[in-house]
Amino acid sequence: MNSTPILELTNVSKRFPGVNALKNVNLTLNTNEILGLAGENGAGKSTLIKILGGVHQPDEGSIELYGKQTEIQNSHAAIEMGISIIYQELSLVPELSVAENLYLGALPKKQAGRIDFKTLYENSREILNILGLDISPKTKVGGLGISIQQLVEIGKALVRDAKILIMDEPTSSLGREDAERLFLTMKNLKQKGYGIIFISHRLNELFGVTDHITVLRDGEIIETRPTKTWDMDSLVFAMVNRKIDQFYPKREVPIGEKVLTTTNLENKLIHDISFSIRAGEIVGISGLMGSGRSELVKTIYGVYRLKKGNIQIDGKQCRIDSPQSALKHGIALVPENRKAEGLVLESTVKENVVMSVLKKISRFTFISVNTINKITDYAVKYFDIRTSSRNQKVIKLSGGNQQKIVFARIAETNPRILLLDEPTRGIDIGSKVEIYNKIMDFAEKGTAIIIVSSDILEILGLTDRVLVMKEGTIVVEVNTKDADSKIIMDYATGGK
Amino acid sequence: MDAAKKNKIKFEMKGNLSILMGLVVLCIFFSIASSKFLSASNFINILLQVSNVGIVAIGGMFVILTGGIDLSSGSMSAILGLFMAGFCVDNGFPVPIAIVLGIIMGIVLGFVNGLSVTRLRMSPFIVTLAMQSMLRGLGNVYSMGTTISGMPDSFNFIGGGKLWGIPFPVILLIFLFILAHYVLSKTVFGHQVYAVGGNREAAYLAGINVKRIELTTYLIAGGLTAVAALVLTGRLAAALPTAAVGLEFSAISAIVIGGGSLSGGKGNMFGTLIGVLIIGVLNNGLNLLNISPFWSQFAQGFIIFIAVLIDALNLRRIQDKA
Repeated sequence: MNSTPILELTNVSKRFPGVNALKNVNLTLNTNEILGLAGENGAGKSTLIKILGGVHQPDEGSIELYGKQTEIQNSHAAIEMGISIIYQELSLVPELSVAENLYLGALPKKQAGRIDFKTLYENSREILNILGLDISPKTKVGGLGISIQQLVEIGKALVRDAKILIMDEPTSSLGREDAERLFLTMKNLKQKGYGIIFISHRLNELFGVTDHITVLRDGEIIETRPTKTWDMDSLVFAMVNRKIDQFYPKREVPIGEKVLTTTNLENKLIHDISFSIRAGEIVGISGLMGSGRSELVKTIYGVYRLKKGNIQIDGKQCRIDSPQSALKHGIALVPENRKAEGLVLESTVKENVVMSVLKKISRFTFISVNTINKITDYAVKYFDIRTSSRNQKVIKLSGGNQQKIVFARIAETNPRILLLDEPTRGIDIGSKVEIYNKIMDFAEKGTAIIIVSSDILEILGLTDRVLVMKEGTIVVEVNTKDADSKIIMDYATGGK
Repeated sequence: MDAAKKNKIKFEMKGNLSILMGLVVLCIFFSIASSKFLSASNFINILLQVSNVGIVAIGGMFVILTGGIDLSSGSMSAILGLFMAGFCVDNGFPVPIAIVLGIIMGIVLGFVNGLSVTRLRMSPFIVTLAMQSMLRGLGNVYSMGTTISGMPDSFNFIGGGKLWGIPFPVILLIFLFILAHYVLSKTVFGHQVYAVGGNREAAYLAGINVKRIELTTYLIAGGLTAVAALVLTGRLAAALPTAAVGLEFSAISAIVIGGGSLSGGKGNMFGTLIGVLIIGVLNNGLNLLNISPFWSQFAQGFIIFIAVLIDALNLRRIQDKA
């Protein structure tokens, strides 16, 4: 196979206020190559993708496409140049057919703007062929399985004559068989001369499908090597720059009484959930996207109603039907999406910090500014929130600092049970370690902690026990000591 | 003064400074253009003219801060005026009882609005639009399309009387603005209103009873609409089924000019007060210059356009940064 470079980044840097998102990045992608991109959340992967997709412009450095230096001015230009990004979230129109989705915005037309259905279906069949999909182009997309939709999404890129496919965690919601099918298609496309950049949090997938693996850390390329020369340990070390046990500051904490017990929890989203957790214990919940992880913690938090089953706190049965009542029972949630669910972005740091305890800090419904300031100053210091003032709008802070504010707000409620849904998604490594330490502080104080995370290393590094979920139910419970990422993925994807 | 405090004052001023400047410029312009503009009596006159819009705008601001909207206040004000006047004149109720009943009815109507929005999950725009039409119709049915007058002086005092030489509605307006400002900035409820409007989902997950907060804002709006009805009816010494047409739009205009955002969570009572004053000064000034009221209607719309344009430009700047 002769492969030539189609994409070359030279010394590309990008700065955002307060962060060096990318520093002197050099990267080469060849035809007939699948390049794996590995890195922690906040390592700069998404910035890199956005630069290739024309969303961001690099501050320094140059991009060469097909041997010619170019600027990718906007996302439209990126598509024109043959760069297609396939995001985790699919952008298909469920009510339209496969063919119409493939050619959305580029439908072949006859006179007077009528759609040329014959050409449309013929061309679509060709694309489906390349993808190895044996379905009719007339099928409605909404009725297809998620993995097939993913392939249709790739098909859209092919329709637009993409030469470079960038796939951002395409497997995060796929089971093992579906993922295998995707890999097969990827290898096929590679044979046909495409260059593919593949991003995944599941390291074993990188080993299975890529030719080279590049590790990004803190915005810098640490190393690019042929996949054969990497192994799990060296890859993880390159990603986090320390042995796993140093990165995750797990502490030995005395385990107390049972705090929370759930019995046969049942609603539309979760089935037959029974588990319990003790004071000081940290339990991880693993599983694919859509396996019901977030739904489980949100059910415990009172967002979703229970149809059956019960929740006991300290051995006493409780009815929790809203976040308000959850908080009264000492349950707090750090939600999955801090911008949409965790913060009032246009409000100030202090307004966000006290948002959950307004009643508690008021006297006869009046709240003194001094009280708010005192609480905020303490939180800013304890969580090391880097902000110019307590009156700063949180939208102006970095992801890591925003997440610390969510933690600060939750800490004010003095939770006995802490539900953390992706507590470190999209934040820099420094903040990550600080947040891990605060989680351990909570455990030391006897808080029972449940962590939902897609990051298996995080689950393995922080927890005492792991519950693996699949299709809304717990498929297995393992002691973290006896688990590794392969065991967890096997259960999560249904291999066993 | 420590640095943070200074910062805060600067921050709050920055929000309101441009509209305050707008008001000042407008006042300077009319002072030069008309010799009758710059006087204490004219200023009081302006306040009197905007008193019922201002009172409705206070209630409207609570609703808009949570991301809702109340389009029913104009016709609600008309029907409540008719009821209160009718209670006195037709039913012979004592004035205090007629007034209390009217305010209760306002709160009940606000309750219907609020319940439709929070429990039935209907769009506030449509619900209150429907209410606007229904109430206007009912007002005509109740009064058979005629004016009700002949209320006792004590009833008309609230809209037409004077206290310490100042028209009573002006005192009421200023008192209500101070009270509302205090509630918004100093109480649990006020903080929660901003949280709900700023990010509904985050507020809900932070343990705030979002629906109760929203419902309460509609109750406040209903109650204050009753007060505005009282002021208008008293000032005219008559209740008209055609009264207060477009009142809700003047109030919403004032809120938007004052820095409020229809998506919620933005603005404050001080801004709304300035917005109300800008509308008042504009109408008064153009009137003094003998310019057709049609032009003043145009001018009011134009100012809203500018206010929203500034808001949109600011928003784009923020989004570009993020």
